[in-house]
Amino acid sequence: MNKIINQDLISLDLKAVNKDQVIKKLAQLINQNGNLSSYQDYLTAVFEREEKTSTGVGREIAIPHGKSAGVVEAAVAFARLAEPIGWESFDNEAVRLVFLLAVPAESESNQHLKILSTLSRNLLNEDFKNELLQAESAAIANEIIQTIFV
Amino acid sequence: MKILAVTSCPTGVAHTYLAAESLEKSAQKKGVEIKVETQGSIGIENEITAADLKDAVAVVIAADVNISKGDRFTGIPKLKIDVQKAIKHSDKIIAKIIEKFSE
Repeated sequence: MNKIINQDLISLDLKAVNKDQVIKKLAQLINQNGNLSSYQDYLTAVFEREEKTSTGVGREIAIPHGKSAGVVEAAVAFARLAEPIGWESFDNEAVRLVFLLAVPAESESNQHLKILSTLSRNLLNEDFKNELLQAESAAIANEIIQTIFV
Repeated sequence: MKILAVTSCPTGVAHTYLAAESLEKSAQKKGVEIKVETQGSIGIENEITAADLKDAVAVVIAADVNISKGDRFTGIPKLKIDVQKAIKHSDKIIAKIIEKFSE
């Protein structure tokens, strides 16, 4: 199992009214998991990134992310949304799957960055997406996500 | 036919790799060879070499930032687009290049 994600970092059928709320709820999961030294600094980094261009990457997926000194250890939190939410995606489709990435400002190894690039590349895989849409529990979703890191 | 591409985005965490994957998939669908260099937080991966440049028809620069070592591509046809467009329109981009460079 890759430590970057675990079932405590996964929320299936997350309820939220807008993307800011989705981001905050997922950031709280990362915080509770012990990956952050400053929740606020991390959140600021995520919102600053979000302001540049939307992280809605199409195909109902968004990957908000922040690189910050407030991150102690890299993590990925995943939410499947109860209701699709607008994310200013370039294909104008509302988002159903959200991966929130937390990356330390500086790190000794590229390991976590490789993990995140692997994740990004797999988001375009339709099977991967469909399996996540159908996952029955956080444990199962975690297993699906873990398979791409093997 | 061989196409080259460089992808890069401001944080270098996600879009760089999504764009690379999109372009590779589109090229594969069309049966053309592509080499995509990613310039992300990890640094340069799958770097385009002088040998690659010799037999390539064009290079797609999919970036929201100035790319490193851009001077390598002097004299080769370039298509500059932003990284979001590369993710969204990769099929069209590859099709356009094939159309333009096939005799």
